[in-house]
Amino acid sequence: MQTRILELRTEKKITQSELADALDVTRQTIISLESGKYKASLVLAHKIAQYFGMSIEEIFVFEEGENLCTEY
Amino acid sequence: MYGVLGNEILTDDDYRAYLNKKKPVYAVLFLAGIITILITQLAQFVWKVELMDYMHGFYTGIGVGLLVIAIFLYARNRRTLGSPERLRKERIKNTDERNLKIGQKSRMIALAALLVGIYVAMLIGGLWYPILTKVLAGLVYLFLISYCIAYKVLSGRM
Repeated sequence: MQTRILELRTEKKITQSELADALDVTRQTIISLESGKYKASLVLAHKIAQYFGMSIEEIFVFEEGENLCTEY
Repeated sequence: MYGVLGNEILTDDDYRAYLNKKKPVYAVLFLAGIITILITQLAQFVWKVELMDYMHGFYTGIGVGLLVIAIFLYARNRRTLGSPERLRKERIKNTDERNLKIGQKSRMIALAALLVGIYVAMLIGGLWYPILTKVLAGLVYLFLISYCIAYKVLSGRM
């Protein structure tokens, strides 16, 4: 899964600390999200989407071949 | 979610309430320290139990340690409650989902290490001190029973 957080944050010209402050998380969490080391929970993903005024799918992009669910 | 009982902490006020609820815990720790030191002194001077120097130092150390920890935690709690900026910083640090996940995984690894340690101590130590096998097996049973009870209770809540 890839995220567009870094790209969107740069576009908005805000620092990692400012974003962390707005989302009530630590700066380290933003760094880990941007580098793809950590995957956000549904609540945090929702908060991030709300902050950027976009949908979750527009920010968190699943790569091809990543199965999200099993088809029957 | 934060804390053993999964308290819902979303705002600074929630965190303040959570910190206030923790005050009795520090009092219990302090009391445990006093009781430990008191029993050690009673054992030595009133009940005339022959305590090895090592055990006397050990019990006293535990008692003093509990007292110091209780005082330190209480002072830190008080300082946090007195400063809105510090309260917010601490709330974010302690409720950050990544930090919680790291803590959860670390506890699982530490628990696995503890169980391996208990097993090795039981296997090797039991050859010379058979009582050790009973004590350590008791600890493993305590763990399993606590786990089953906690699992049952928590599965009913989630």
